[in-house]
Order: sequence, then C-alpha cells, then structure tokens
Amino acid sequence: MDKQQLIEGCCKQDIRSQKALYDWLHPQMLGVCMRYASDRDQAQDMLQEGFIKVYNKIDTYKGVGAFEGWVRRVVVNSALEFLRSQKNNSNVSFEDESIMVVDHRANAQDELQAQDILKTIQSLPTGYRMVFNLFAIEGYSHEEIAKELGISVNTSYSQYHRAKALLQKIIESEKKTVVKTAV
Amino acid sequence: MGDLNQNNDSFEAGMQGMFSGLEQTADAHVWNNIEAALQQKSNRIIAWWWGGAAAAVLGAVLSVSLFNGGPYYEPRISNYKSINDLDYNACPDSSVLEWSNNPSDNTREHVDQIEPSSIHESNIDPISQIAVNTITDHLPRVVDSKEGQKDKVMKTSFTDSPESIDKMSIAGIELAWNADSLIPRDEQIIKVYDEDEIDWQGWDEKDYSDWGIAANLGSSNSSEQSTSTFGYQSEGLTTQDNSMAFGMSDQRSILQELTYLSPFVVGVRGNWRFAKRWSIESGLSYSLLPTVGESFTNGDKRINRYNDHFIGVPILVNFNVIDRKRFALYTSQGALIEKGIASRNTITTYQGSEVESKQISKEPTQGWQIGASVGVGAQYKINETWSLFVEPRVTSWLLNINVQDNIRNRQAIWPTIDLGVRLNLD
Repeated sequence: MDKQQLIEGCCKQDIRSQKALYDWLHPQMLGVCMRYASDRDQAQDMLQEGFIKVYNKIDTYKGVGAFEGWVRRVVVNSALEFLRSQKNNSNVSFEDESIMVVDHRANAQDELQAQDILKTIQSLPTGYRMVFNLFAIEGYSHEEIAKELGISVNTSYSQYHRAKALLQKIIESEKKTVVKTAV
Repeated sequence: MGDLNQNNDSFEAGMQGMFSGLEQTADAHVWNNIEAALQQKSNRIIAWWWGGAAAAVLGAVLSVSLFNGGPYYEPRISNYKSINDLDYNACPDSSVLEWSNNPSDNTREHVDQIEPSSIHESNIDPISQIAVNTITDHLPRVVDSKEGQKDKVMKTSFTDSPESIDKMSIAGIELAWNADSLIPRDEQIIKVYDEDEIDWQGWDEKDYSDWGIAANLGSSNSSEQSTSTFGYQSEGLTTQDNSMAFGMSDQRSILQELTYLSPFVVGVRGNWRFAKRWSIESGLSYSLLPTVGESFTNGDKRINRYNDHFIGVPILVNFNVIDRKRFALYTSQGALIEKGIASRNTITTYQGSEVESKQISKEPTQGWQIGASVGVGAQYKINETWSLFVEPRVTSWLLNINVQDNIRNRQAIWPTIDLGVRLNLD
C-alpha cells in the first residue's frame, strides 16, 4: 500500500489504512508530542488526540506539501490545544516565573544526549515549553506564536530567551564536564 | 553538541537537528483507544445516514400523497354535491342555481331551500339547455375598484345553437375573484345572467373599473338573487345603482373544481462559506405553479389550466453538521422570495369526449410570495467547484402580496425535496 492509497483509504474511513498510517507515523509524532508534554503518559494522550484529529481532517489535505508535514502540523496543533484545555486545571502560565529545571543528565560521563535535553525541556513550565518548541524547533516566528497562544510578542520573546539561556547553560556545563573527563 | 550555543541560528538549527529524528514507540493501548474512538464516530455517521434517509423517505411520501392525491380539495367538496352529479336535463324544474364548495359559505343551505316553483315564479328559465360553447371575451386582469380594492375579473360569453339561445336566454358568464383578499379559486363562482335583463352593449363599453365593481356584486350571497332585482348592496353603490347599472335579475353559479398540481421548480444556487461550518446560499429559481379548473355545463366539460410563472431568490444559511472531503450533511434555513412574472391560461372545451375548442391567453403577473424554510441536506462534491445535493425541506409561505391563489398558499406547511447542482464559491 503506497502513501496515496493509504491517504485515500483513510479518507474512506478504512480501518486497515488508518492502522497502517498510525504504524507508519506514530513514532515520529510521539517524538513531537514528547517535546510538548511533561512526561510520556501525557505525550501518549496528546498522540491519541492528534491521530483522531488527523483521521477526522484527512479529507482536507489538498495534496500540497509533504503529507508527513501536514500530519505533524495537525499533531502539534492538537498538542497545543491539549495543553490549553488543561489550562484551568494546571499551571499553563506565561507570566514571568523562576524556572526550576531538573538536571536529568543520568551520567555525566556520556555525551549529552537528545533524551537529556528533552527531559530538561519537559521540566520547563508549560508556557515556556510551548514557546520554546514552537520557535526553536517548529520554526514559528514570535508573531505567529503570539497569535497562536494568545500572548503578546514580547512575552513570547522573553520566555523563549529565558528558556534558551537556561538550556545553553546546561549544555555549556555539560560541555565542560565532557572536556574535563577527556583530559 | 558544541555548536548549540555558538549563536542564535546555530542553536535553533542544532535543536531542530537533534529532535528531527526523535522517535518513540507508543504503548499498545494508544491505538486501542484511537480505534475505539473511530468506531464510535463511525456509528454516529451511520445513525445520521439512516436518519437522513428516513427523513428523505418521509418527505417523499408526504409530497407524493399531498401532490398526487387527485383533486386537492376533494375532501372538502365531498361534503357537497359534486358538479358531476348535476343533471340539468333530468331536472329542469329543480336545477341547482348556485353552488359553492366553500364550507364557510351558507350557499348550500340556501340552495336546498329553493323550491322549483319559486324559480318559475321569478320567471327564470331552467338551465337544462345551458350553452356548451364558450368564448372568452376578456383576459383575467387586475383592476381597481372604486373602493380601492383590486379585483381580478374575466368575462366569458356562452354561445349556443340558435334554438338553445331562444330557450335559455343565457347571455354571459362573469368570472371574478378578489386578488387582494386571497379568495381561492375554488371559491370562484361563475354567474349566469339572463340576457334580456343585461345591457351587454353598455357593459362592453365600460372600463375595467366597472368590471371590478361587478365582481364585488357577484360575491354576495344568493338569498336575494332569485328575486327580480338585486336585493343586496355592494360597497360604494346603492341597490338602485346596482340595478340601474346592470339590470341583473338572476345569478346562477356553477362550481369550478380546482386541482392544484405539483409545482415544478428549477434553479441554480451558489454557496459561499464564511466560517468553518457556516455558509450563505443564494441563487435564482424558476417556479411553475399549475392549477387545473374543471367546470361542467350540460354534461360537457371545460378545463382551465392556469400556469403561473415565478422567479425566485432563496436566501439561506447552511450549517454543516458533517463535513468531509466529498460529502457533507447540513441543515439549511432561511427565506424564499418569489416574484410573479407571467400567467398563461389555457381553456379547453370538450363536447362529450371531443375537444371542441382550445384557447390560450397570456398576461403579465404581478405580486410576491415570501416563505420561511428549513431543511436538511446531503451534498456530494463532484469537484472543488460543483456539487450535487438533495434537501428535504419544509416551507411555510407566509406572505402573498397581490398574488392570485395557488398551491403555495393553500396550506401552512409544504414539504418538498430539492435536488440540484450547487456552485461552491469558497
């Protein structure tokens, strides 16, 4: 079953096509969700909501651009919506606050891995995490982020740079550790 | 990793590179939950389809039963004698002089009370030899009466063989109805005047305003019509005026049975989506509203077919309940506005089973009809621009302004099924 057949099958609500699409793309999309979530369980909830939206909206895919990119956008939007929906129950705040980041480097002797930075990102407050992901990884502008999240451009800008400075500090610290160990 | 904090661009690029290949396998329960949600949705869609299909079938059954059940007013007429039952030849002394199928009219009671002897005492000839040929002298048209009322008046003359004319003294028939007060056609009364007592020469020379007054006179009840002069008074004229102007001594009414046929509507619609699920729809439609009137004279039949033509504009707001790439299920609500543009009246006269004559008259039609309408529809998109739709809907024609009676204002609610092609402008 090629990609086009897969898409057409999903448009027809064919469960085998839907499963095949899930098997194909869900590992990448869970990787995306992991960056927005605070832990794996939350990421899997996001993934579930995201794929249901993909199946519901797949007939709006016009064939313009890569299909994987379209799925990713739907999943990202679903993740943002998921976080916003929890706004009342948790602490999705864009106010300035001190960032308490847990250093998740399990082994200082190893080179800093993506998983370590991922865990650091996950420990950011939700608002910071959303802004960081959208700007640094998804490539949104601050104007677009402000519009998407309903915040000011300045808030987006300041939160991103605070998160970035923190991550850079951790990365620098790790770099020194690696050099010292090598010596 | 060392490049991450060299400068802003390299930091973001490093992040993107780091996470671009990040993949994780989800637990099995995630797909199970997705599958369950999809199944639930599928069941909902099936329920919608069945519901839509049931509504369509119900609409179709209602439409067929309403439109094709024979003469529309037969149930009402059935309380009275049908014109078919009148046997002029068999009962010259008891001819029914007036008839109406209007249940609110007390004509029937009155007619029953007319004794044959009273007819003779009034020097009224029986209608046993009523004329069989008709000539339409004037097309129906709306005229202004002196009371500022608009009446629609048509004069038709009967001709017959010379011996019949001698016997009957039947001179003419006036067919009249009031266009403003929505007196339906099935309440029209054909009045027969005695030739000897009507100055038809002068009548023909009168302008249409006088014709309108004549129509008002004719709408009176029949209790006085068997006397030698008018015993009633129309608005704006005294009894004496009436008598002097027309000199009528008798009116005899013959029922015209009307059948309202199914409207035929075609049109184009454009749809513009202004929100995710909302759209505005408008277009242009043409409606043909046919009505068939049958009257019987002396066993022969005359059929009037009125074809009223309207141009309409729907103004609808649609809400998509289900919106897929090819298919949409939606509700539709709004107004339908129609303007009368023309009317064509075909009069076919039969002698026995043979067509004796056929006349066609045309006239411009004025007036507006405005209806409120709601419905549900299913749409299949052929491509980005065009789609097919089916819409069971109900419409209530709330306003009829200067429109003669037709099927649209015979009943409060009309169910229809609209089929068509839609132009998608979004």
